[in-house]
Amino acid sequence: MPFDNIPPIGKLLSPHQGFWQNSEKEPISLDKFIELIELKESVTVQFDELLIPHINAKNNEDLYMTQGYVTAYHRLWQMDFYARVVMGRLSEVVGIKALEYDRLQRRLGLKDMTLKLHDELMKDAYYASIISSYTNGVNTYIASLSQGDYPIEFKLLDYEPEKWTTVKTCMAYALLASTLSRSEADIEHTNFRKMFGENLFNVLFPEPDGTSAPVIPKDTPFDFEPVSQPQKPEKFEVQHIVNESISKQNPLNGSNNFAIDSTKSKSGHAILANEPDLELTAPSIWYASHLTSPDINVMGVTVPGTPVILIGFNDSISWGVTNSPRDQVDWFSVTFKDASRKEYLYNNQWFKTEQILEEIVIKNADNFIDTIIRVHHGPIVYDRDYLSNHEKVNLAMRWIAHDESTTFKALFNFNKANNYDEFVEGLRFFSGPPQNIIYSDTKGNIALNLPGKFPIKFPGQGKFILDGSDPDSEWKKYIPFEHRLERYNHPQGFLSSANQFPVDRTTYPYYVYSHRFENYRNRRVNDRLITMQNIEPEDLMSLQNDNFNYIASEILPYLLSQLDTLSLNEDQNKFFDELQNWDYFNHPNLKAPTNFELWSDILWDQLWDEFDTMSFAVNKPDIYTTSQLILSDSLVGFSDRLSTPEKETTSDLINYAFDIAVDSLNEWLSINGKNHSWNEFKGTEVNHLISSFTSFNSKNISIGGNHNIVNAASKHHGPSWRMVVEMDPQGINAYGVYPGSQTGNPGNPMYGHMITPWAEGKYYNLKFGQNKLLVGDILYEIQLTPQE
Amino acid sequence: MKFIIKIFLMGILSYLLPFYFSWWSIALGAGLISLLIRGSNFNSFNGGVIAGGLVWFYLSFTIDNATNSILSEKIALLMNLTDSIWLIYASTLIGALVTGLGSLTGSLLRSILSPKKMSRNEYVSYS
Repeated sequence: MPFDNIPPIGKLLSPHQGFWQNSEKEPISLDKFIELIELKESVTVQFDELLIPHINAKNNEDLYMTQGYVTAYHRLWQMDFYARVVMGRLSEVVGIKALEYDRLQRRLGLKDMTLKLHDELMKDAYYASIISSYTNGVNTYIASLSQGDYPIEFKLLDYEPEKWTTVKTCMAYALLASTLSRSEADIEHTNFRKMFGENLFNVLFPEPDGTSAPVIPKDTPFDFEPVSQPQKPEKFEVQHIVNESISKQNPLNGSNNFAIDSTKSKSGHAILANEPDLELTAPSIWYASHLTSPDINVMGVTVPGTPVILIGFNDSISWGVTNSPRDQVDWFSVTFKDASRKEYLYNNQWFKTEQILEEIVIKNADNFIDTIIRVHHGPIVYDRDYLSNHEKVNLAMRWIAHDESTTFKALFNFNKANNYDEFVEGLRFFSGPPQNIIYSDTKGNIALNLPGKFPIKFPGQGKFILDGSDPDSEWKKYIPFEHRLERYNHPQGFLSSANQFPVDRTTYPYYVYSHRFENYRNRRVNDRLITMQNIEPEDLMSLQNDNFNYIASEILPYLLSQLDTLSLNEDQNKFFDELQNWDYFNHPNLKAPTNFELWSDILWDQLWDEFDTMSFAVNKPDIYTTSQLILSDSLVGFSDRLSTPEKETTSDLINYAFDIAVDSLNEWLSINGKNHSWNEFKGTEVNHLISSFTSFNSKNISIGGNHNIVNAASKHHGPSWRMVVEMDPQGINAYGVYPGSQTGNPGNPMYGHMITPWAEGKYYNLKFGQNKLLVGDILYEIQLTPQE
Repeated sequence: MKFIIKIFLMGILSYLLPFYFSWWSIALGAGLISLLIRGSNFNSFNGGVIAGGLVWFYLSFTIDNATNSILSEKIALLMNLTDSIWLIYASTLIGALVTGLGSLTGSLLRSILSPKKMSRNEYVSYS
């Protein structure tokens, strides 16, 4: 049996209470008439053929209560799981294997962030009412369940759903901040610089200048008087070697969004497109809903457990987000007075620390108590108990996400905004995680904004570990909202973003930094949008599914030119021909993308093999920098393979990697016994959140694309929600699809039903309007009424 | 006839009780029937096995049939079983054994608690 903890077999196999009860004949099993305590007036919920609930309520309390009820109906276990992820409570249900994960989550302070956000929101009667109503809805649903009704994952892991809380309703912020704004390489950079010096560091990890297709078009003026920047102190960094760093957000998390205005559009209406590229999971991270009350009419997707639409549209505006890589985390080295860790050095004085005991409950094992020390910078994540390897390194985490957040309020404002001014009022509340927020409206306008909380840094501040005792190394002021990166309409007729560097460095007065930016998808999207005219929604769908491999287009001609083609054997010739006849599109049925992937991966590995011998945490240069170094033949000695006595040149290495790639392909073919078309080789998967529940996964999904391609479907990551919205004032035309299903139940006939259409680039019409759905569009309808 | 009635009653309870109580209430139901209605230990066990097995077979089979094995196939894979039919057999076996053992327990309890039976045996032996 694949699970470590074997579920009680009698309960699991009982036809009354076990898994049999999760086998569903019809897509929806809710009663047609449901009485709910605390409901004020009656509510109608119409599920369309995608199982998207269209909730029609007469007041907001009823609206959000019903949203909580139906979301729990489809995704209760996933909600419970996410709440455990954020609160560091997974070990309670999956056992000791999740202990290190829970410890990290608690050290990162995700629980504290959620509690702080909750307390802040509950002070405001408007938001408190929404959060309480949603929570009530979830709890009413849970209370209606008998053991046999529990989602299958509860049965397999042998635990019961616990009461939902208003705190859990606020968990999405910490979940998303941890997924999106925690990317940094301060420790890896510090290690590398200490070992190899500043010059080599700057060659291998250069900062972009933002001149190549930035998010904010280059001609955008910034005509304000900037807040004075802090002076760069003489010494503000420390030299450490840290062997292992904490697990980071996945670098493949990324997204595209673009909008065209009335001049580019065939119909004269603005069109907006967005797709967040995240880990592909079952159940999907997104849940679609349409919420209507006299106060609101909004449709889109949200994270289950959250009473707001995160990406979507109403009858006047639409919006979408892509992650904006910005350094939101800095590490401060802390010196304690003694082993008791009760005092730490700051500004030549000793200050008191705060000590927090985190008790982690573990299934089938004793509880674990982790001691976390806090200083004024934030929690000390690396210390003698966690990843410091007895080197006495204590690193405190300063993360913007730890500060008070009002992002929830921003999103509620987006949900209700009628025009750009109201939208900008919402943006004011957006405190992070930093996003490129695209906007379009029914008047034909488009806009791009990067709101959020950004410290004003002197150049280089926070690239490396900072001295925690030095006040000059700290953040002092923040970029004012009015000085944010913003573009409202543009003569080119479109705006777009794809996680690239946000702005031309020479025009924006503030220092912008992150250790990693996209360099390919952004250029492809811009190249295409510049040439496209008379655009219809279908054209933007095609662009979202564009498979052009920009990396290959830039580097493959050079690689092929370096090959010694006279000595190729039969297999190598075939491999070579497939590449030479390729037009650089990663279509699923082609073989050349497989050849290129193998060759370039092996080349990258061989090139940076020096990094594999290092015993401390370090990052390899990214694919863009690597390509540039290869093309300019400036690999500064790294082309030498360590395992051979010869000194290889770049050309030698390219030829060597080619030979190995052909051998690897032959090996793959003999093991897998099928042809090496790109979809077969890549084998995109949508996996269940519990990795051992393998039969709930979808394997070998036939889809093109890859990382750094607009259709960003790699093996485990990809477009997690594709949305295209045409802002027709007579009625919004919206289209969407995601790799999953509204229902999270593997025993439901519609489980995962959108995966194949998603892979084929198909979209569903999202039914939207103030009035109720047309009879033909309704799959199932329920009435909720106040309990007598 | 009493054997058939016992099977019938135990079947009814095995079907109904788990809707309101835990799944193992089938053992209590069968035990109660065997406590109230006399029978040999052997027959009580067999009656329970037949009643519980039939009910759990019927329920799991009809669910599986109605849903085209939509979930049982996935659960079977998780348990490294080649065919989802094994889950129906396994459910049947568990229903049968638990009900049978419950029934046997009821029957044994009856012999402990029943003084009449003792005295009649004594009477027979003295006559």
